[in-house]
Amino acid sequence: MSGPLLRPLVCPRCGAALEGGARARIFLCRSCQLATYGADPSRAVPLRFVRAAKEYGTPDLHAPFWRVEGEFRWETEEGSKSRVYERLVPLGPLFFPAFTSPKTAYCDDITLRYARRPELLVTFPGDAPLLDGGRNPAVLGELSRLAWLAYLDRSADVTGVEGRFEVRALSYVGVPFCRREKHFVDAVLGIQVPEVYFDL
Amino acid sequence: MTKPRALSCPLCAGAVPPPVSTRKVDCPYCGRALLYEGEDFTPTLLLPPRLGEAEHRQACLTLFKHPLVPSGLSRHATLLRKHRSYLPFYLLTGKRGGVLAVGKERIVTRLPGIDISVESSGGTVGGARTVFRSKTEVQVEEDSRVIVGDFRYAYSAAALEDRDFGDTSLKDVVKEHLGEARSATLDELALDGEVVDADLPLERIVERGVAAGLGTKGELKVLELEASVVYVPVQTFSFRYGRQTFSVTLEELGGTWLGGQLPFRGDWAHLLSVPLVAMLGLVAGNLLGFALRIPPHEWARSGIFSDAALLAGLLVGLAMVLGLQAAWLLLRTPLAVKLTPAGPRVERAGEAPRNPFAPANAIVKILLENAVRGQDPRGEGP
Repeated sequence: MSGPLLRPLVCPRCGAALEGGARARIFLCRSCQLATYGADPSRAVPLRFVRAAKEYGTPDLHAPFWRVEGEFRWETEEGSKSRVYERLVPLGPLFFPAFTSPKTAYCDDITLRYARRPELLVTFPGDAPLLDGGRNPAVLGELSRLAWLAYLDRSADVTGVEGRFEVRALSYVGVPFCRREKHFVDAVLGIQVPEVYFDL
Repeated sequence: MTKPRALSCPLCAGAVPPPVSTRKVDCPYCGRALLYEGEDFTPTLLLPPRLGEAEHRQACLTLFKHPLVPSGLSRHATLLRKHRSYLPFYLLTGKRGGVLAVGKERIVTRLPGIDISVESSGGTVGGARTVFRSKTEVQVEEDSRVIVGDFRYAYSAAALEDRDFGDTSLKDVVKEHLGEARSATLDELALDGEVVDADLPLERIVERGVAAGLGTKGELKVLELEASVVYVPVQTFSFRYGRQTFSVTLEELGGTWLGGQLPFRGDWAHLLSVPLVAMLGLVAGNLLGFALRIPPHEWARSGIFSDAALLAGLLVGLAMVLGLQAAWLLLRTPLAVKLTPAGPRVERAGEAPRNPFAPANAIVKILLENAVRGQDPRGEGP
């Protein structure tokens, strides 16, 4: 480990105190609309929010997700698989939960469902409170590659298929959720998740 | 494990205490929030005890009323000591994923006409006829599965072998109550009980636990791994009953008895030995009665009866010796009730003292050996 062991939690751009709870690893600067993993200024990315659909009402919480834009390329020697993959609708930006959750088995499904409806997940600057985030963005490239391979695998087996994902843009996005009795629904697609999904 | 180290605030140079449960710390001098970025950081968490004095008492009373322990145990046992220990567990959470090669099995039935076998048809001029048979076989096809999943494992961070209980049930307790975990310093825990050192290296646990579970096929790998040390409180009660001292251990989150020993209710053994001895006595009495009903002149007239008398005598002796030995073992073997998370079970707590009727065993043995030798035509007997 090179560099100082203790870093001040201040915005790399404006010097204001960064926002984040005790368990957070991702900290926010509201004035600059930035999120940073740790206190490393080189890791600052834009902070955005997804607009809630009107039919869900006012969101009860915003959960942080990493939004990954990039390019996926695949190679296979089997022509039949190529033809199947070429016919698939390309996925939009991938959303990976940045919060810690004891029940993240739901997350993979959410990632794919969001990626198939990019037109509903338009982001904009905002200032709503966010749950603490902790996932290291270093793994997002590999997670994106696997998400794409899983998508291809639904149409044709990916044995022998080489996939590469190149991250082009990264942002930290708050997704709105509304409470419904003992569960939550996201205020975008109406995906239902149990309370334990969020480690509240 | 987090090692205490001297840290200083990069803004005011004041001394900052090392982080405990989170990387975020506040400088005690300038009050600014700081983030610890050392790679050796392992958060220390505590699952606070949920059981108080009343719950301890109730748990002991319920245990002492178990049918396997003496009925007066709750009245006659004297509590000598109760103390709390904090047992360390590594909690490993993370994400793993990859493309896993899995073979897909298919049952294939080949159609008639494709698989041809030739059998000779005896007597037919020209030799052979063609028989069409369908054939079923299992084919393994290449198949891959893309796997992305989270894991959460709890492993004991200290060797618990000398504690009379394993870590299996405690692992489940850690996972179940994880939502209640809060930060704690070891100094803080030490004020409340014995803190057991986390002396098993984390690297070894990761290597043998998480990495070993990845399988050998494909490219499944750990993408993220977060480790923390979680301390679980257990309460040990030591008490005296009669001349012996016993101790039992209770985990203080769900109230499960983990291990320990209790006295065994001896009257069960006494009750069992009575019908056993009675039954053997009945057998021996019947054999003796049979022998007595034979007139004395019959004994002298035929060698059969003398052989029968010898056999009966041997059987009576054997039955008596075995019966006495069984009763002795039942009455004198020290038994104890061993506590396990699955429930109490009876165990031998030591060796039985030497049976004073043991010479009878030797006599029966000699008699049996002689009898066998007497029947053996190659033996030395007449």
